[in-house]
Amino acid sequence: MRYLLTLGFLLIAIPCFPQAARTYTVCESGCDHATVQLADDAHDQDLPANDSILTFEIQNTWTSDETGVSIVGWTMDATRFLTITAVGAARAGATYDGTNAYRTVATTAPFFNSESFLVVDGIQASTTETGATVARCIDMGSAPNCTVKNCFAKGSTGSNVTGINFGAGGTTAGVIRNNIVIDCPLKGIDISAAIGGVKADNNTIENCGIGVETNTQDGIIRNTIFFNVTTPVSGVPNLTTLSEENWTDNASITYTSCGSCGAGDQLSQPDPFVAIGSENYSLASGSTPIDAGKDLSADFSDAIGGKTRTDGFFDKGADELIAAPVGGDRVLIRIGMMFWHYGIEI
Amino acid sequence: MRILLTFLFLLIATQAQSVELAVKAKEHWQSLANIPAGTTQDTIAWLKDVWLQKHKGEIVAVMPNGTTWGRLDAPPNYVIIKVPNATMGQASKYISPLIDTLAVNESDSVRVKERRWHFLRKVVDSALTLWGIDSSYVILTNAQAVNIVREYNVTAIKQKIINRLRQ
Repeated sequence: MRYLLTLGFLLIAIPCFPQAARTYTVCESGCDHATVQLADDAHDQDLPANDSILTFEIQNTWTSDETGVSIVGWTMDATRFLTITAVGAARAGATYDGTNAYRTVATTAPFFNSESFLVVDGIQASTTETGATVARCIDMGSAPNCTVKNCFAKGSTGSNVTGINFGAGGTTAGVIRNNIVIDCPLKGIDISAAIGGVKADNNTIENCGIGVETNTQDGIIRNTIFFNVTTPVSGVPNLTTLSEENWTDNASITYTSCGSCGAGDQLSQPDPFVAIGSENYSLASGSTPIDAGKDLSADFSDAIGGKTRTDGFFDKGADELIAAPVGGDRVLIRIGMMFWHYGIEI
Repeated sequence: MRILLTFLFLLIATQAQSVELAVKAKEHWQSLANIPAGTTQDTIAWLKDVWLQKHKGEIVAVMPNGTTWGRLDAPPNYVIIKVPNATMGQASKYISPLIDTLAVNESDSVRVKERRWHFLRKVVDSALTLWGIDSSYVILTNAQAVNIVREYNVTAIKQKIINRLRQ
């Protein structure tokens, strides 16, 4: 009887545990695949049907650009999905790195996705479009429930360039956070066609026409830096979960039909970055976004470049300035003096 | 001896402009060949999505000569085809998408297929047969590659979708 009960338990319990997650590596030499595109086309599948979770891990230094990535031909759900993440030297930081970190560079679609629930983490994507053709650095198409985080989207001079586009948020909130978006004459982040409450938090947007375009589709914008942006927020944001604690060098941020939005916004601020001319969007010591953000630690604690927001106060924007410990040298001196006072030689 | 030296000279000389193509060697898991017509999946939206994906024979990546391919960039996933007398500029067209320039709304599927060009399936099958026996790649001249690669047509794809729905 005991044996039968144990067997019965195992027969019920085992199918409830998903298959072990699997990781495929991507790098220029010595990995499973030489490009992200090759990984995509080798492993696309129905992940829920196969009860699988997959990760493409982009590693090492990259001497060349990948010339466009298109994620198509999958089925995913909320618990069985694909994550594309860059690690180590390949990972995006607060300075655009066109020499060593991974980057996908193309004219109109450096990174395109059509599959819901995809997670993209830590990549650089850049468009070279200079004309009027629509170009989007990171484009989630009409795929709902995706996450784009810790990425660097670099535009160009094209008049229809958008940094990050979410065409459909779906019934569960999509996430856009800790991204740096620069040089997008049309829009930095576009969530105007997304539904279900896309959270666009702690992004840094510089030199763009519209910073974030939302619509009556529940977009939430918090802790975002808008610098050299003509119109920081366009469209109607979420009217119940308020957009707030943003930062700009503009004199104002307009939230259409949301009079309660904008609490804690910092306006008319000076340049907070280390060196825009070098595409370095790290926060300069003493700049006003530091420690000024809303605490969103219930949702996340990471920052671009693999940093963690650990000091108890969120900086605004994608970067988190990690300060050196205070008083270290003085502590050592204090101990030395204490030992001297008590006649103990050290 | 003279012929061998000529061949070696050509092989060395043409390395200056030479590309390697990773061609998809297996059917996509949603290949219509494996899914009977008339299933509940057969809607226009689903069929458009199936056609959008990359299928056997389509070129996934174009890389310069001497590329270090990944451990899994090989059968059953891919065959590598070398084209010694083609440039990256010439070969890059093989990874361009097929666009429906007559699409009304940008939000519609303007991109009909991820890849506009594809090798015939029998070419892929031949490469798979030879893999590991003669070499780990297939060599074609630019003229040979041009002769056996085919271009998809938007109108033809739309007609195939209609025909499928009529089954």
